[in-house]
Amino acid sequence: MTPGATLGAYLAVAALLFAIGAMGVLLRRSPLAMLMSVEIMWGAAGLALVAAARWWLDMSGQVVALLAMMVAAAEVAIGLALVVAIFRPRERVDVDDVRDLAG
Amino acid sequence: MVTQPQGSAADAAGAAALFVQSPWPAVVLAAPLAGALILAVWGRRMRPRAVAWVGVTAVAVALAGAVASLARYLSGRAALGEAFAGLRWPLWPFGEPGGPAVGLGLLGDGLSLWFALIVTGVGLLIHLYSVGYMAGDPGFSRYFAQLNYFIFAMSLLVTADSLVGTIIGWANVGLASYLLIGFWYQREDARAAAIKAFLVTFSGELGLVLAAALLASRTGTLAYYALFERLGGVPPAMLTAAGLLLLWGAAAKSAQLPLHVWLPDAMAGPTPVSALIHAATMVTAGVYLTARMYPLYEAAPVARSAVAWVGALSALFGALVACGQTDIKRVLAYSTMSQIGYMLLGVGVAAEAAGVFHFFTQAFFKALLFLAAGLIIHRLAGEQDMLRMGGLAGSMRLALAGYLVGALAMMGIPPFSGFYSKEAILEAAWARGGGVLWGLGVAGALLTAFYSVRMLALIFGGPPGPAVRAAAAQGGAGHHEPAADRAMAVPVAILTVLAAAGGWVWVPGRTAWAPAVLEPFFSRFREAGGPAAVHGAPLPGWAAWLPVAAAVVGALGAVAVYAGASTPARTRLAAPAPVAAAWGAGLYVDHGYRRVLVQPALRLAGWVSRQVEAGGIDEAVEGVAALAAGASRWLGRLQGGFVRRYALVVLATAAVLVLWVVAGV
Amino acid sequence: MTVLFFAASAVAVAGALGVVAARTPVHGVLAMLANFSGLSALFLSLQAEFMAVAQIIVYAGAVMVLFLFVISLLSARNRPAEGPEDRLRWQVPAGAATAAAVAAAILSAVAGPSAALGTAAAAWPALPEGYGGVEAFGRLLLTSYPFELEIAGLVLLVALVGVMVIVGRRVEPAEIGAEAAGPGEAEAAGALRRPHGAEVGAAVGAALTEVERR
Repeated sequence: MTPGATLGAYLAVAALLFAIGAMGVLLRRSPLAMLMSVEIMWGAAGLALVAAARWWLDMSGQVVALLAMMVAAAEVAIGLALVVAIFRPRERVDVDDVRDLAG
Repeated sequence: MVTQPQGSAADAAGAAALFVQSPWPAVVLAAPLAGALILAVWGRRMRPRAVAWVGVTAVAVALAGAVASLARYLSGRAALGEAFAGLRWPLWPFGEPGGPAVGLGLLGDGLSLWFALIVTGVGLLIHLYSVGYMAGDPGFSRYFAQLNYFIFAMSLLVTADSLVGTIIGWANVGLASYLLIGFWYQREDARAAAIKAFLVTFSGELGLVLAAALLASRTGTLAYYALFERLGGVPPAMLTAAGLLLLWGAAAKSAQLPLHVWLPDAMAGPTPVSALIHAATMVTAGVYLTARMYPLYEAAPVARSAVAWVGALSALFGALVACGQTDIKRVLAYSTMSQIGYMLLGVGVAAEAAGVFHFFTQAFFKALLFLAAGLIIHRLAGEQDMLRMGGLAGSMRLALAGYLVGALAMMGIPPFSGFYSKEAILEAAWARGGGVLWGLGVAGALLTAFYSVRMLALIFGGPPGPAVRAAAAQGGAGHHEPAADRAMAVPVAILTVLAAAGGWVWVPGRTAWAPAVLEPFFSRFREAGGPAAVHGAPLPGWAAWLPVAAAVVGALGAVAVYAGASTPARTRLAAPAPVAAAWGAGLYVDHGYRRVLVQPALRLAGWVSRQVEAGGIDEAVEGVAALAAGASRWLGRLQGGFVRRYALVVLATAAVLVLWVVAGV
Repeated sequence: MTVLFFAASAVAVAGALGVVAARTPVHGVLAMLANFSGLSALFLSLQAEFMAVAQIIVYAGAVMVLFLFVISLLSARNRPAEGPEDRLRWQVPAGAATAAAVAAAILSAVAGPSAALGTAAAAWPALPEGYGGVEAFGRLLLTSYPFELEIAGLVLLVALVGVMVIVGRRVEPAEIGAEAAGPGEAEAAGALRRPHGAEVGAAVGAALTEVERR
């Protein structure tokens, strides 16, 4: 049983997903959407790791992907807590409204 | 009368100097330093009584240390003989092996201990006197802290075992004198005098440091004994230059021509401070330095004769100007300049022991004169103009006795102390300096007697002057020494005895305590048959008594002019008005400095302040500030507060870097 | 398998685009769910069964629910959407260009090596017994990477405590005191609140670590 495409194809999909996530971070002004885009980027990295693990027949790649998943869970928990703490008293949920450190 | 043990000199110079470790010299330094620190930190919270105790005790301990050092030195000399050079106590070893050894240590040879003894001894009496004189002054504890510091600085100067230590002490003496001359800093004249003294003496420090650098560059050391042994490797021209630079430093500190201008102004400080500066701590530093460096002058005859000439001219000049002064303390100031001139004359004619002996006797009679003058000034509520004094003979017997003895000693009348030392110097001047130097010295002796007797006559003789009458009217039954003045009376009495009898430690043919202490050093580095051995014609018998005769003539002249003269006549000197004015102004040396140095410097400073400071530096500073402000305003726009823009920059940078590095785009 | 790959990739990419394009957060969450599902299927096609399941449980289960919680929390007072106007000029084209550059960078970095490794799907090496299964995964995780696992667990623990601290600060003791009967009570409430939150965080973190270990 082999995967349905070459390793390069899998990595290309991962790159595409990563770029789409990055675009979401750059373009969306909702902190929730930005955090979701970051999750997509995490997933893209995980895909690359798992594909490489399959190629080399070394499950360490999967282990690292799992660890990354855990860290991503921690990140999203903190991120959402910050979103709640920052935006609960505000009218809009828009990161451009938060400019307290503007020079 | 000056006897150099020439026979043993060659042997002594050949033997390596032997030192004995002893902590006693360190006591001389540590006690006044501790006193100064204690008083500086806690003095303001202590009661005046406690302050006085700490201050006086510190110097008393230092004196005990000096006496113990001297005893140890004499016993060491008795046990070890010729090779024994002195005590040594390392403080702070410093310097690479092989490089210039500039470590700091203490030295207790005859010369150092001789000076340390006077500095702490006379210093102790002046401390005691100050307890009475400064009583009630708001700066009482500050005064004693600074006085202790002064003693520490001077002790360091004279007990350091290298030129480096002496320079450090030298600088500290300068700072201490600045603080004490400007003690009454509320007064404009005191501030100006303090700054003037500091600047003038500091200019001398430049010469001192340059000389040290010259010597260190060739000998690789600044420790005195090692330095003296290596002087043979230094070119004669360089030795002469170093000797002249040292003379510059000595002249600035010792108020010799032409750098004496700070000394009369320094009278703005409290009178005991003047006594300390003139008798023990400050102006004698130049004498110590030149005497200490005599092996260098031994090899640099030009520099040595420069020392002699500066000394002789200063002796005459100081005495001459002193004759025209009306301020009691300024007379004493110029007299100090004159007496220090005699000391340098002694050093300059290779009679260092005689010069240092004169320092010894001068310390007593000059301290006595100042302290007695302080009694008078104290009584007359700060009056210092002699023309407003007079008729004090009946009411101030202690001051009269002190002044009389001090004046006789200064005039060189036997058997008072000044006679022996001045005689020794003049004899050496005749033998090795020539008739002109001797003649200058004798003329100075004549003028010294004149102004001394003039001072006595103006203060004590004649009818009571206006200041005396005012003090009497104010004090009511005030014609007695108040009980608070006991602390002032005791030192004056002790100094009276010392000024009278101090010279008996070296009466040729009878006692030789001073040479016993001093000669080992002064013969150690002297080669037999060197310049010091050159004897001119021995002083004829009649000439030996000529200085005394000159003094008597001068004294009689002063009596003729001033004794019994009415007050208006005393105001008028026996000279036309312009001469009197020039006299009073110190022969315009100060004016010359003001015209040549001070005013151009002020004009330059004004120009710099207006053009360079305001136009150049301020503009540049403000320009830099404006540039930074503008740049940060512009750069601040990058920090827009938009998280997405930051993310954009980060990601774009990462993408570009990856493309550049990995793909080579 | 080729069909699975293309279908799963299409779902994942479409989900990702949906997240970027979604007007409302709930739509975004649903799109993210599609993305996760596609990723999970891709994991399956790579014979990473455990990872596929973990992806569904952790992301589609825990993370997505967390997002929904926050959306409803913010919706309680305001509309959790961004304002209509974009104050950053050029951000949209510049962001799109940057994303394209990122994709180009990664692709150019992997293109050379993967071409060298083989272009045919058949180039994949044959699969050993038990690859990607729970047993092999667990054996590797607990024998070769126990320390890393503990570190990750600690990160989760700290994150949870941090969440408690960040969000739990909203009610100040003084406010409670103003509402409550007396100051004593307020102090009691204030004193109780923080340790309580920390304890809960620690307990949850410990429990999570235990779960992960199994």
